[in-house]
Amino acid sequence: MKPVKHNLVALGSATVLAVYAAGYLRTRSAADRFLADDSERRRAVATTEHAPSPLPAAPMPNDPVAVADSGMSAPPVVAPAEVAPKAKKAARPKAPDSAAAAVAAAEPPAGGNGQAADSAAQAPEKEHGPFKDGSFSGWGTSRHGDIEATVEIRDGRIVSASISQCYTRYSCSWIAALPPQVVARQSANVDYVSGATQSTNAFYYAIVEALAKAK
Amino acid sequence: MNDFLVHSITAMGTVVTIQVVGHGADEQQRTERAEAVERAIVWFQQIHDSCTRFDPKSELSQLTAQVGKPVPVSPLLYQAVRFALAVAEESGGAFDPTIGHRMEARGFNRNSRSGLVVRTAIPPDRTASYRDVHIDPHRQEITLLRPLVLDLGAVAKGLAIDMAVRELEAFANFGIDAGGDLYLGGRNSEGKPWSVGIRHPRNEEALLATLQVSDSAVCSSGDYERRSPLAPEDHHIMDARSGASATALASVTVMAPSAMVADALATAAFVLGPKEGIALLTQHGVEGLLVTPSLDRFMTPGMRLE
Repeated sequence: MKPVKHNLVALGSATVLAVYAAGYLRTRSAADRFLADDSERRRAVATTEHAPSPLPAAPMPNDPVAVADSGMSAPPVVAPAEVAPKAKKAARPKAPDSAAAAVAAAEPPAGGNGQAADSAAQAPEKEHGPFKDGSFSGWGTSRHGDIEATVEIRDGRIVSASISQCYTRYSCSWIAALPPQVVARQSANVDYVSGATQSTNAFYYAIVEALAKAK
Repeated sequence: MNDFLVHSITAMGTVVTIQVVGHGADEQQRTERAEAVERAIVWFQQIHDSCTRFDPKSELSQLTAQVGKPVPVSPLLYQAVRFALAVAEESGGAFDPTIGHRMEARGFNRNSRSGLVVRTAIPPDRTASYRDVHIDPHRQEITLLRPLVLDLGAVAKGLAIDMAVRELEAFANFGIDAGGDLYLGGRNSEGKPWSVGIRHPRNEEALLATLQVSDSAVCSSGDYERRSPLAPEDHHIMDARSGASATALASVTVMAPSAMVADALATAAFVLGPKEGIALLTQHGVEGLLVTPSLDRFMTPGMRLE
């Protein structure tokens, strides 16, 4: 192999510094504006904070809340309030013909009926996991299309997760293995997973949104 | 220690999760922590808005629309393109940011938010390469010598992670996850190095290996990540030299001080294959694990698996 002309690690550091220096003020002011605009809402909805607490029920990083396939066994993930997948759905283009078959082949692997049952939610109790009990659905999106996922919460913990609707452009079968993981990874023993997949992200985000409703 | 903050958003077509350990003892600390996370997230949004090829209004798309004349660009876009071109040069064109049009042609062409399909009118018989992009460091101008579409996907997400690191490094212990591209600062909330699983390329339910990570980025490129909607046997990592999907490896994981470096080198090594891939990583002083489709493993000398 030819000799190194640029050491990419050194060039990378220089690039990061240059971009940071050039964009720092803009970023800061954008962040400040954002915080000023709706800090209350974001605190309440989009962010999970844990103050030091002696309560044993406080979630730990490797604890129940973990959703994830896509590399996130990190816990209390909450959907962002500012992202509105509902609005997107109206604009979603018609699935191409090839996808119709894919959707048909992608019946929910578990029994989720696709309807959120927010009314079933109950107030959380201390010894419970971090979620309200009930059935919650959310939409996730990716380059390939949208997915609706439903999670069932019992005793504050995820007991089931399913794909209730699938509008990706090709078969959903290869993400059918994911819902069990949402349940299984409640006990994930790694903090993160490197190498997530694009399509699982749609599923993951659907779960994120569903869990936000379970807060 | 039950003191941490986790914040997830969608950005760059993926889910971004930022976790900060500690620094929540009082209201002022919690405010500072939330503000830093907010700044980190703004970087993701700004870099995406500037560097996406899926939005005709992005600065990148505006640049693509002008061929044959120098275009003044923002420092952000200039730096991202300069870095991508350096990786292209170092990898002998195995990594090439000018593959955007060929990616479009293979169906990697839909805006993940709007669902709209992007199509760039370029004569199909003219294949551009990174040598058709000229940069002027003094004027911060970029000139495209022929019609082409830049794809900064392998650089922009890593760069955004690196910017988020700058915002969060004062907290020492934090994690950033952008769809499986990671940076882990310090230690986790149990006071241990972060434990990172590497996804198994052929079994979604299994991990290939586990790493202990502290103050390092970890990025993986795999043939399982995004399949072409037009030809499911094609995946999203293209060998720019041949125009076909790279097939010598199934997954590459790189650890580096910067996520941008790790992501770009993981992509480049994936295309180069095990022997040249290891050589490239070693030359640049980063660690990596390369796995072939038959699950043979190749590692740089300093790579430590659990």
